[in-house]
Amino acid sequence: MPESQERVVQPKSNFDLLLEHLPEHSLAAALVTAHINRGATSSIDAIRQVVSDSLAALKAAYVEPADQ
Amino acid sequence: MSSLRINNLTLQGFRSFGRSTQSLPLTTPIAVIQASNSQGKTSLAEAIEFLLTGEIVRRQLVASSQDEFADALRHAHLPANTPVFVEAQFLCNDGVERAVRRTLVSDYGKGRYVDCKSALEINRKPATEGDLLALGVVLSQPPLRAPVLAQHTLGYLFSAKPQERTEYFRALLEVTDLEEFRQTVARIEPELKPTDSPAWTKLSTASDVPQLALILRPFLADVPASTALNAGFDRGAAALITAADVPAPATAPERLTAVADILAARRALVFPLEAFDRKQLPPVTRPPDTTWQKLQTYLDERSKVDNETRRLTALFKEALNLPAVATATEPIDCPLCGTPDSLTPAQIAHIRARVADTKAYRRADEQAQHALASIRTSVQTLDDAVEAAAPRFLATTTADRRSKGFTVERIRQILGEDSTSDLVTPWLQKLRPLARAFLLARRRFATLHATLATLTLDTLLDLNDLRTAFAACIDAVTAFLSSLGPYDAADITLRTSLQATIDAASHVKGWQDFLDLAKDLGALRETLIDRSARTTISRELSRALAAIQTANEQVLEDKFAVLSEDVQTWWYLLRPDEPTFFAAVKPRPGTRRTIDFKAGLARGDDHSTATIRDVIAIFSQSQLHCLGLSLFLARAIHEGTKFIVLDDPVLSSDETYRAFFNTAVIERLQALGLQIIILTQDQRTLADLETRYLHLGIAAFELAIDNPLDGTIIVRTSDTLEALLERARILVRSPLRDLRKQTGSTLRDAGERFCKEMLVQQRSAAGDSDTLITDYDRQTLGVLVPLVEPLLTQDPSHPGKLRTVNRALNPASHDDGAPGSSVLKQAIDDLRDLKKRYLR
Repeated sequence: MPESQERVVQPKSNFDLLLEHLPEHSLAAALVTAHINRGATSSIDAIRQVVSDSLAALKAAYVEPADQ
Repeated sequence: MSSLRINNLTLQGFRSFGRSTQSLPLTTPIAVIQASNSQGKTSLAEAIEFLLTGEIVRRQLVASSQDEFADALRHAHLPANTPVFVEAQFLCNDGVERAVRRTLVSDYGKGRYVDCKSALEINRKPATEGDLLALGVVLSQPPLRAPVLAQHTLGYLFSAKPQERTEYFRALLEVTDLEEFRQTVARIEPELKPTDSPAWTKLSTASDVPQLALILRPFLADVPASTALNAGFDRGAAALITAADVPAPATAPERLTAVADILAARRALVFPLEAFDRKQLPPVTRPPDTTWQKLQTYLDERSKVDNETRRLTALFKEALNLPAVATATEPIDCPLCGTPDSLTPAQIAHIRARVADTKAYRRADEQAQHALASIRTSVQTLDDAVEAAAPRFLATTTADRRSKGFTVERIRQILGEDSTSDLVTPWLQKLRPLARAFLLARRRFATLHATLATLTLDTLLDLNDLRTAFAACIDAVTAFLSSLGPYDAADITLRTSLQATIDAASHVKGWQDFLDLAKDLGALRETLIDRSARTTISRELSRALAAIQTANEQVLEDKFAVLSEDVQTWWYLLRPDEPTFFAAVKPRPGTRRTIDFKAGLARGDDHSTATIRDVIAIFSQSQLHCLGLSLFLARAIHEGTKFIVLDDPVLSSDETYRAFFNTAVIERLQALGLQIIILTQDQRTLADLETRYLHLGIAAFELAIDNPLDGTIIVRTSDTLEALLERARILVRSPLRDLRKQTGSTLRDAGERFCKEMLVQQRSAAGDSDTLITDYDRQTLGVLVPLVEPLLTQDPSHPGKLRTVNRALNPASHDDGAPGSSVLKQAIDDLRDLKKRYLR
């Protein structure tokens, strides 16, 4: 008899399973996490926010001392 | 917190159940309902299905023509006004019991789309399926929504088309939400793509200028520091100047100016492009009404004072200011004509009064001077603005334009004949109304200028003429302004093409872009930063999308693996140690919606090296039966069902399979906390389960049809003592001696049963968990009563009652004896009372 017989079924959500297959700290993982934690926000807005934050971070890297 | 379960089921008029309301108490974890064929077993399973879903799936799965199920739900002999309903008392998760009732409103009709209609109520209030789900009831994907396994649903599980299996396992295998998520992310992608902004396009074009290429192209690849950008543009300007054989000025701004001059000079050699230049027309401002009111006030005050007084007022004011005049108390010499003593104090007072009379006039005169100047300024400002707002070529003479080479023919020549209809003609169409409006405005301003040039306050007679002339100018400006908009659009199109052609002909293509960018290098750098960031994030998002796609596929593979494992778990419980076994649930290669069931053919105990085949081709009917049950249980457990109904889950011909079901499967379901309702035609299954799970609590029932009008009757059989007492109660009514004798015999059995249950209960309480009723087989009431009497301690009369029962029933065991009815009735009452008081 396989060991799985003793497994207690605790189904994970598809998105929890998806996260397990994505590299930690990757943009893909950040997008999935934002979707999971979106609350009342729509999925696309939650995704846009992550992308927008990443874009802002990239731009911030170019700020010169004189601009600050 | 409780787990959802059905505590009781009541039904009437549904399929084989007739006019008498039947009740099925389900307070035990396991209930077994046994019935011979055609006694209402499947009707009971379908009643639960109907209660939960409002339909029976057999119509969809089995009926060759759905007409065959017309009027199938309502019992055939049910009186017209008798309602058909199924009601369950659900003990809900919150510990509260709720009555869920579904009443048939209209039965299935003939025709595919004539479905039955029903009304759902919870605690007598109309309810929806959503309310039912809120109680914790789990309904699966169609077609098999209810946790009810019957022969037709079991067959469907393994015989359904591979494509249809997807529907059955949708909740387990569904990854549509992941695909929707990926698509949502993909929708963001175009929003991030860097667009070719005007600044980017200009930089690209400027980078193609040979003298600038090496300097500017690196900026297209990497965002430069501000200092590098400034230095690069300065070096670029110097390179252009040097290439033009012109001495480079000393400072960077001067170098840019020099580049602009060189560009203008080169362009002018081909065409005077600057003749198109024009300024924006500022908002039209008119003199406020107070300006005109001041002029009107002047005219009014002037009319009150005669001309002679107005003329002499200044002279009088000067004279009155002389000290001799101002202080005269005696006649003095006239300061104007010199006549001695000719100006008396009385005359001075008279003159002072006349001058005072002109005071308002003089104040109006002063303000009117300012108003007239203001109007002149407004007119000039407007006129200048109109002239500046017109393309320069409109404000010059034809001869001047021709001398500079600005002609329509030249424009056509530069652009080529092909461009006439696309560029020149539309431009001319918009130019003509603009030119007419411009000339009209200039004429009106010229007229107004001429009027104002000669106008003084003294010559101002009628304000209306002036206001009318001014309003005519404003109207002309408004018309000019309204024709500017359409002209601008055509002008930009024409000029852009013209400039590109001229620049190409002048070998200065990209110079203007260079100069435009140089005006605001900060803005250019922001553009480059934005583009670079967007390019980076766009690439990252593409990689994220690819990773999500791959992960989605891995999740689906995982889910198939989990499902395979779950099904396999139940399979091995049912059929352990068989060389042919269920191996996996797999998606058909290249498809997403086709599911194959795979069987393993092992050579020995090692299943890992088994040959894999499709189950349909390999499995026996018995194995397919097991597979169907395994699939059903895997899905039910995965979806969190709290109760399941199994209608003949065991093939009566399959002894081994039945044994494993009765042990391993039921124990596993018990361990998972499920309420199990089993319907079986097999007496042995009933007996086996009743004995095996007595310690857990098991309720046994029997279904039978005695009267077609009453339909299926539910009889509880697990409470043997109660069943015996009930049977005795019915028999005791008979006046016939033989039946009374039989009552006595039944009652003796009841007495023995009471004693045995008392003894088992006492031993169990003392810790003997292995004690069974069967331990006291073949022991008579006479032997048992003395053993039980000491246990009847609640009242001193109780041991005597049991002894009396034993004595009263003695005649029934002899051939010629028959207890009287009253004696039997008393014995029934005494046994019932003792049962109630002592047995749990």
